[in-house]
Amino acid sequence: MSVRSATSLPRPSADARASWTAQVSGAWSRFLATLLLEIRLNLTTPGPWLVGVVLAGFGYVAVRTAPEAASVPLAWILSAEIGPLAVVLLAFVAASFAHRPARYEMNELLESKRVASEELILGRWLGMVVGIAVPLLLQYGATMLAQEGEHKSPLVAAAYAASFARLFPSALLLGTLAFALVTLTRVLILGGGLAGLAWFVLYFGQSFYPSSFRPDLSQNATVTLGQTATLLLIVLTAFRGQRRAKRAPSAYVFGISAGLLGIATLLTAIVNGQTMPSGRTATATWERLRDGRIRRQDPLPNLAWVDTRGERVSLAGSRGRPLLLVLVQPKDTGLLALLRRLDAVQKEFGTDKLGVLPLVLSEDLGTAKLLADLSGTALGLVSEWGRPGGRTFKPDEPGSSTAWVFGIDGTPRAVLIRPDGTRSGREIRLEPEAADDLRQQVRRAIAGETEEDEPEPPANPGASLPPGITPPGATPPGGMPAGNAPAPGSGG
Amino acid sequence: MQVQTINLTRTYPGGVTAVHPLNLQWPTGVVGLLGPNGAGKTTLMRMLSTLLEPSNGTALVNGFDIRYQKPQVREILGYLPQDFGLYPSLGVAECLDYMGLLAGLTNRKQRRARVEEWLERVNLTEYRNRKVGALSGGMKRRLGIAQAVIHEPRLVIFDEPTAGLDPEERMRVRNLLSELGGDRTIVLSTHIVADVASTAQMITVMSRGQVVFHDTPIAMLDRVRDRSWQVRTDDAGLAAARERYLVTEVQRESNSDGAPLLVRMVGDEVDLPGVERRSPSLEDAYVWVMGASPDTVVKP
Repeated sequence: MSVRSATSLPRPSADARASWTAQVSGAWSRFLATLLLEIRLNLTTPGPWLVGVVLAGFGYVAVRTAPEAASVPLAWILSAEIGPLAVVLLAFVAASFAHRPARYEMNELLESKRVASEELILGRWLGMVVGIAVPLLLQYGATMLAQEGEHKSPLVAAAYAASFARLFPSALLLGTLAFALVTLTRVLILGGGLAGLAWFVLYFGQSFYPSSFRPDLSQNATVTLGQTATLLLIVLTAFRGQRRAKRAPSAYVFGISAGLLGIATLLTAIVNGQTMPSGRTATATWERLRDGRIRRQDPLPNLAWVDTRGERVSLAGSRGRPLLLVLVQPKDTGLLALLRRLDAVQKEFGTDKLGVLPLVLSEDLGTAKLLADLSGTALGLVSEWGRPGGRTFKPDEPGSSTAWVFGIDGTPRAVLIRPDGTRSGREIRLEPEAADDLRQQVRRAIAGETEEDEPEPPANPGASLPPGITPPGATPPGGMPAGNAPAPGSGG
Repeated sequence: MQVQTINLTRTYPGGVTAVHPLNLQWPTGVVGLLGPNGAGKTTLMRMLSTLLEPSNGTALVNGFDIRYQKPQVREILGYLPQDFGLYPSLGVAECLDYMGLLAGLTNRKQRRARVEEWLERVNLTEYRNRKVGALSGGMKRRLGIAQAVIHEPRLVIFDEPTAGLDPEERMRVRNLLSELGGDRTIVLSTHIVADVASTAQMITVMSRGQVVFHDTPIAMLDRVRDRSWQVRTDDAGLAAARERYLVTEVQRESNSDGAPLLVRMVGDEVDLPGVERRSPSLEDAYVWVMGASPDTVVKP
């Protein structure tokens, strides 16, 4: 037998290599077959169906117990209130999908078949995605059916779709994390447990990390999906790294892609954290305003918010005409109807004589656009971080600084601001039966009439507040100069 | 079809050489790869199946270089790991269909025809709809063989294919392996010499990373021709035999007064009372070959 050294062996010619097209076609077939197989395996196990029934039960309970069984608040409850529970349950379901017993072990397949790890991992991952989407769809379907069946209120499918879209990225991130951990460690308890721990940190430690990383907020969907894709690339790299193609170019491509995508996601989160309203910026606004001494007859500080396009909208921009500022939250009763009534008022008086500005108080900044779309009004909705906390502002759990300025602790509430930037003291009622009263007050404000103000707040309303915090409108003298207004990015 | 190794070497990062420079050729047919644990069999198989990069040298599988033509090698390779899981909740036929697809059979019509053909050949047609998880160990092993060869590989590597099977299933699997070896090279890595004896046309014995025997079974038997012995003795005699010779088998017979043990051994000359020659077996030859390997002390 002739013996040659390996280095003197001829390299293969180009003809000897399989055609690129055939390889891609084969890879696609294997990926699709794996995906279909995984969907079948996942959906023939009881896990997703049991979790789906549990979540559907929660949806039904929400319909029965909600103050208003309408689509918008119910959809909000599904994503914002039941959502975290759904996410952790789905993470455990995802972990179980990656576990071995029902599957041929991945390494064995890689060793015994001409299949690439990416084809298997991507097929299994997508199968997992379908597997965790089914319980959520069950929940949403059951809630919609219950709403229609129990309350006969009109079904707004778009509200549920938006709620699903708001919730699913976080379910996808945690599910992918659980899937990745179990796939790499091959230990269900370890992978599922670590994913559960990550969920705990993400949902209960929200005050300890920048809000631009919160997976439950729709404005962070890009960051959440970027994190998910990075995780997936890390799994692909890890499998490439430990298999036969350790030094293959594809292993480096996956590794570098994971690194670049991770960095891009991090940068996006940092930029969003600087430019989007957040708890940090709400606190900054509160800190600027708390020492301002505003009398009722003084102009209000130049509060500023972001509109549905992310652009700055300030109170100063509405000077010269009365402004009806309406503070709402996504779970408010009769919200769409209220927005439509406000739109009618706006049209009745004309935009040159009256400004109507619905302010959505929510940590989820995508809600304003959803409400604008669902209500079908021409109103320019704006958003502010946080919920209303009345005259109390907790820096460690920051709420809406605008609500704090007006001392509002519930929604929907309205404030009528005169053309000179001072606040009308009369209470503004928003109920349908008070429409005439609302119109009358608006007419007076347009005419420049000064109505009888409500009594001043108690002499020392700040007694219940933390030291150094003075409720606006309670004490003289001097209004806050407009130049002191915070930028929209700083929560103003 | 043939497999040729050229100075094929594998040294692990710790400095342990699992396979010393190896030069051998395997022709078409069944090749038995024998050797104790740690002999380097698994390392050699993993290199041939492109799962492990050689430290030096290379191997040609049907003319394809395992270092530079991995896809081509993988295309003509079938591999049955010792422990394999399959999909317990799938039916036999659909499991084999999926495995065929992963093995490169992308044409559905062709793949289905192959599935039917191989179900027939491994005698699982009547169980085609049964869940894999409900199959017996032997049936699973036959299904494993079918999934390893469904894409008609030219080189098939079986790692302990009969481990854990009952005698009937073992015989069935052996026959199947013999049938498969017609126009391809089948490497049968095993500790069970009887498996090799009944199927292999070529035997390679490895010890401590080196090939200590590489020839036909007949040539291997020739090594122990006139060197195979047996004697009836007691426990003391067995201890003495073990001191001086390579004992291959010990049988205790309950009705033999005073000498309950039938001891078989190999050696050039055996100087024990009552010893007699016997016809050599492949197990005798294996023990002899292993005893004669450079790293083993050859007993007088």
